[in-house]
Amino acid sequence: MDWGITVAALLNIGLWSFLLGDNLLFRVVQSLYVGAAVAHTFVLAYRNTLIPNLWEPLLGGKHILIIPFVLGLMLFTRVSRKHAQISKIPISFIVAVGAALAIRGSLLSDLTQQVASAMVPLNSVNNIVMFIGIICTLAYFTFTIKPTPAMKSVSTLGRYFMMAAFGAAFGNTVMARMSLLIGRLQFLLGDWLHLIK
Amino acid sequence: MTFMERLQSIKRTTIYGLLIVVLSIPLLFPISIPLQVSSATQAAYDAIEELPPGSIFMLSTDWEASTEAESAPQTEAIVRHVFRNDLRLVIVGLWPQGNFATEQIVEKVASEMNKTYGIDWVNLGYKPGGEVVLASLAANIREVYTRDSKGTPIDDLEICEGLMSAKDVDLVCSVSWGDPGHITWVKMVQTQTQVPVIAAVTAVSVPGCAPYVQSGQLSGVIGGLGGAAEYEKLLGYAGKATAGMGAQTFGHIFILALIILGNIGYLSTRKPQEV
Repeated sequence: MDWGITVAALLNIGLWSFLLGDNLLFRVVQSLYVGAAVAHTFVLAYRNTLIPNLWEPLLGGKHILIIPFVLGLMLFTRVSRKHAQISKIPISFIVAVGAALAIRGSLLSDLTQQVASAMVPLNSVNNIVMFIGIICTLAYFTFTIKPTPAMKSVSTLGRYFMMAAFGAAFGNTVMARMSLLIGRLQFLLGDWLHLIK
Repeated sequence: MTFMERLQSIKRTTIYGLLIVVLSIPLLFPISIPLQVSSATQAAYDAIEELPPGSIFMLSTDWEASTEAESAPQTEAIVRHVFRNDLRLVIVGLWPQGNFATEQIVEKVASEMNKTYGIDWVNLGYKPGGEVVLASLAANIREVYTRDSKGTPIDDLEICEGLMSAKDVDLVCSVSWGDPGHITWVKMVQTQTQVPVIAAVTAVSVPGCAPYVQSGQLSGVIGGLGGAAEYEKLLGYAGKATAGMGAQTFGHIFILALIILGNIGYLSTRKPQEV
């Protein structure tokens, strides 16, 4: 018997016990998972990032890295109410860099390229449906023009297009959740109980 | 309470129990489900198939343990394809657990297909930071990754010869469950460097990928367990994804039946003034 698989299977069943209602076993297993996940992430971040990307280059003479090192240490001031203000400096830095990178990436990939790819020749049913869908959905979100009956009809059609998209998204969500359950059943019935040949 | 009223108030635990039974039957007694390969999966397959041997294929492990059921079969199918075509497999990761799980999958497939670590494949490990990591990686991989996940300096690894930036990568595949993931790769690498990106995503993320496939920013998409099963079919083997398709079909029929029954109960018990 593989004890690792048995422990994993019992923890799996412990998490499923939530289906019968909140209980102590579920909370214990949940806390175990959170603890193990955080520890795993911390060890990987320490071994794969802090040591090779900060500590080793710093000892090798790359003194500029003292700046991110100090900024990182400043984040820990959040644990003290008295000094928590200091942590806002590195957080501002992180937000600024993150926002700058996100805007740069999004402008090109989500705006420019998406708008360009929406300009298609109306030579196929797919392209015509896409064109109508874009126009009607944009009309639904046009709040600055006084709605005329024609405009209302277009925006209603836009709402139907969106509802179809939400339906597709919900269908895929159900399918994904089903796949996760199938995966667990394959593990319990196959890897643990060896009932699947 | 009449039967029709009961149809609208089936206990949650009863539905869970029935669903587990319905899904277990086709797993215990497998049935063959005919599969149609979608154009998005075929495009992802073709993107790998078209690469000449020795090309650098970067696999980004952007998933966690909770999506193992979908992401692991996708990963295994892709890795088998990459090794079969003698591509160089370079693994990176924006999420910690997926990278760890991927290494175990690749070790198993590599030993089956006689592939050597450091020559045919390497795991550069998980790096926190998402967009920041990819922006740096697009410019200079060696600044982000100085060692692999085992601690070996990247300069000592034969597979990493000539790998300086994302531009040296021939194809990226993000096995992704959310953000950071496939969209981050599109934003930070595909858009900036024109390196083609394919995605293997959970079924939840498939509709969100459609605009990127339509625009050509994603060269192909393997969607959920179904996509993984389609990929297994293209490779000519039946793995866990194919085995799960019977259960998935049964599960969908069960959910549809519940929706129909619930609506029959609702419509038949509706009071006249509600009509």
